[in-house]
Amino acid sequence: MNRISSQQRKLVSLVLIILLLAPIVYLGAPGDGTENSGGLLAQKRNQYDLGETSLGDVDPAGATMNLVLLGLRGIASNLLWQQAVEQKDHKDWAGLKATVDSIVLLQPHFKQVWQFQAWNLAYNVSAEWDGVVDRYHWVKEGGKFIIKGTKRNQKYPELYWDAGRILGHKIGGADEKKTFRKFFLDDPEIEGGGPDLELNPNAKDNYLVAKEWFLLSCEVESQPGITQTRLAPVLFRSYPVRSQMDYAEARQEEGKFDEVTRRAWDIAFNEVTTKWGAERFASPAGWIVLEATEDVLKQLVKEDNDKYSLEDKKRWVERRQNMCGYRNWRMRCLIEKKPETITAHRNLYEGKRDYFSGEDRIAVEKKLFAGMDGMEKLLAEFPELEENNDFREECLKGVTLWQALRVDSLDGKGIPVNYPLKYLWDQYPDEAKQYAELLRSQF
Amino acid sequence: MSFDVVGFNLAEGVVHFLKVFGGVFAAALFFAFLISLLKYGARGAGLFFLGIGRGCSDFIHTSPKRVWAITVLTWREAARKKALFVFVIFALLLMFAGWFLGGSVDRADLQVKNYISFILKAITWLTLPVILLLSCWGLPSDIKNRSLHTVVTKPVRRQEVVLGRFFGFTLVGSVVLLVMGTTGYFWTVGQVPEEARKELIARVPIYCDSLTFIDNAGVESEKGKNVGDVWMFRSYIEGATKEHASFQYNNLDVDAIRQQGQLRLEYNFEAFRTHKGDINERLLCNLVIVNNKTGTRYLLDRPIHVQEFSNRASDKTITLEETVSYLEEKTFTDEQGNEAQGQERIKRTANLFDDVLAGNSITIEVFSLDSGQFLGMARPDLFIKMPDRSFASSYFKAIFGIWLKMLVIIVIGVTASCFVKGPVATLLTFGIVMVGTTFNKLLRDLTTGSVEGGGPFEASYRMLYHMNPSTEIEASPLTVVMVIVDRILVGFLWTIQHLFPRFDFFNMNQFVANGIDVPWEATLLPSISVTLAFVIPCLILGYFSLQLREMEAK
Repeated sequence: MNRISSQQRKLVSLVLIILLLAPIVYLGAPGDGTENSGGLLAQKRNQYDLGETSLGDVDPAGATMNLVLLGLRGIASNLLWQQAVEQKDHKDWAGLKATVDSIVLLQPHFKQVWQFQAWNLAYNVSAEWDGVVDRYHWVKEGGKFIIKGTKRNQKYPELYWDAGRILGHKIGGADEKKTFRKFFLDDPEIEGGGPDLELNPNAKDNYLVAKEWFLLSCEVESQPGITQTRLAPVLFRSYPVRSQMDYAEARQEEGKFDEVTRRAWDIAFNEVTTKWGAERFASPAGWIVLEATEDVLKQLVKEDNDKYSLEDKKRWVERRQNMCGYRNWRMRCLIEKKPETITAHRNLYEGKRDYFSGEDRIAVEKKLFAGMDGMEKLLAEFPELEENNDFREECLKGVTLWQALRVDSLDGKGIPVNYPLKYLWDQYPDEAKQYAELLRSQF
Repeated sequence: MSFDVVGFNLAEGVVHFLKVFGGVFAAALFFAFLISLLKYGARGAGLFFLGIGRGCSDFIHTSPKRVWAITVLTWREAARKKALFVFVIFALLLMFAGWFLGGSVDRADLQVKNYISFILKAITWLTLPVILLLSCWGLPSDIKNRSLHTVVTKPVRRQEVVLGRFFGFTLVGSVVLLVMGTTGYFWTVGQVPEEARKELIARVPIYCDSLTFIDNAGVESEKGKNVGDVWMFRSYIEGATKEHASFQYNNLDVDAIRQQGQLRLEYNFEAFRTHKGDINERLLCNLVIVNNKTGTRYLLDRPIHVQEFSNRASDKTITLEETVSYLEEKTFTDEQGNEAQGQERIKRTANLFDDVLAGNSITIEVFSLDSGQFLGMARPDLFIKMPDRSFASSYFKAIFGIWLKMLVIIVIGVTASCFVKGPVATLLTFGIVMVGTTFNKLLRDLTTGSVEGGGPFEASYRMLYHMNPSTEIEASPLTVVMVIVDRILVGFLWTIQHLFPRFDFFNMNQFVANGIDVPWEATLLPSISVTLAFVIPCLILGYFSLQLREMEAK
């Protein structure tokens, strides 16, 4: 029989509770986020970056939702994914966005959700709409969604990279790029004009904003213990400078041949050679760099204690350079940053524009000729340019227009035997014929 | 709208109900008679008729006072069981819903849809489970606590117990729904962004009687071109060709339109581009109103920009005033004597009511104008708008839809609890509700044979031999057997499907969310009919079940 009284039983229970509380406090006391604060679990969580806060911003709504669902989070997510697919098929865009928002509340640290749905909104949903303003709206939705993803997950370089891709590639590379790029600076949905501050707080060009996101992706990737699985490192690290080049190129496509454009190429060249080119990449022959001079490679061999030969290093440098087209990008920047290149581009661009707008034939002919002449000089200095498709297209199209003017010229002399870029014209007869036919089809 | 709105034929429905109800009732009487004969011998016949007579007498002598007493008792019990705590959950949902809904879409017009869908879904999913549990556990717990034993010894008839329970739970549900519905209404109106409040309306559409597609050769068909969209809801017409869609409206109430002073048309076409075209311009289409009586064609003098997916009614409304400007397509013969049409268009005017709508029957032809681009449309995509009604009217109709659904659940729950215990009654009711909500279309498709792959036997055969549904099965004696067995099974399924209420009629949320008035013929009338069709037989079944139930059993 139990001989202790009720009061004694209560006291024993109290003592036992206190005794059991001690290990709980020791193990589970919450920390304040600093090292060695809190209980053992908090310290371990901090040490291995397992806490919600160390992954990114904590969303109270998502945390509540997960708590309320207990163990049913997986089932709820599955149902929501199914619903999202159905809503997309049935073109219920508002419903789709709401469902996607619910999915990320349940799976805030599942990288693929952010990537898949951001792409879905920016590329697939936007393409479904007919009005260009509507299409831009959904590209923005995709952009905002992935940016939200980067805030919730600060340790996934891929998400930052995806943000750069949507803002750079989608806005600057879509069929509607001309309009989208304008909207990026002057959004039709913003009352009073100006950019959408959520995407473009400093009113910059879309490629420059994309560059910032690519830089962030590289920065996150550089942190210890973080890797990305999106691209080979040499390619992944090229994106900031590639965005800089895209920016300069986009300006040229829009007919802006000024010092800003030249300067943009100059910055790109510096970044290619001193940043991307100077970064160390792992290879089977140890560390290598893409901007590999003899001295730099010898230094690397030395650092590796002669474990790999200089020849090995050179071979792997060449392979990596081929992989990412390093030499091509380097040469492109080198050529484009020259003032004479800018002038040649401008002459060909304006010659073409004036040709189609029916400007004075003699002036147009002069501009085209000057452009061809400038390009010929560049070709003489950089013979590798001949292999560049874009370069050939620009030159041969200029020659086509110039020839068309010469054929009907008032002086009656027709096309002279020798003229700038004749070598290129003769060397690529199929392409020349194709452009001549294209011009004929315009009239 | 992303679904077709099809009218409900009440007369056909009533006849169908009488057939099913009569058949089942006759079968039940026959089996009851047979069982009483088997159980009691010749005395059974007398007992059977006595039971029937007593039943009739009980129903005739139902006392509203006693029914009301049990109704009040049910209300008190529900309150004691903390059923009204459901309000707390509802309040919590409303407090935090803004977190989830507010920033989901930046466009205010698209947000409206989300808010309305949320509130109506929240009300549905909070009230119905509570009511389901209450109705299924009421009588069984009475029996278990022996309180029903006390009640039935009093001069209370069994059907009064069933009716009292039914009205009691209905009262509880109605109060809950009324409070939630009213709160939800004010919450929605308050939450919707200021600039989108004007979208909180109930448009009253008159849909066309038929939609046909006419191809380049003038051949009419039910479907237009398929552009490969996974969603087959819309059919497409090609731009800058003779292809067009023809929306036929008969028996128009021209006097009502005349009172409105104008004819308002709303369209919701979808664009499909095969090439970029002018990306800064929306696709265009022409509308031709054809008076079916006179055959006169009125080509509206301005093409329409296709405002795809916009949720703003003002974007997609075409208003024709009393004097309509139109282009007459003049037919003339060319130099070779060939007849050509549409070569010359002369601007003219006509009176909307006396010319264009004369005879109360028109056809609206839609032509896409951009070469190589396609326009998609379905029957609800072009409608005549009558004067708008208030948002409250359509919102509370949707609440009424939830209320009707609740009535069906209560009556099924109470009836089930008359012959089985609480947990079984809950499962049974839940099963019926789930089948009625989710699998009803599947059941109908199976019974009408519109599901590929045949009946159960054929489907099993195909699965066994890894044959896809479109592969033809070679004729053999087995296929004959298969067809016969499947026919019997499908016939059985046809009968069974009537035991499940068609809850798809009750879902009025989509109308409200899309700013469309909840239609009487397509939704309200069938919902009321289905509710009545279940309430009457279930009460009879409940009465007899309780009559036969052993009250001492726990």
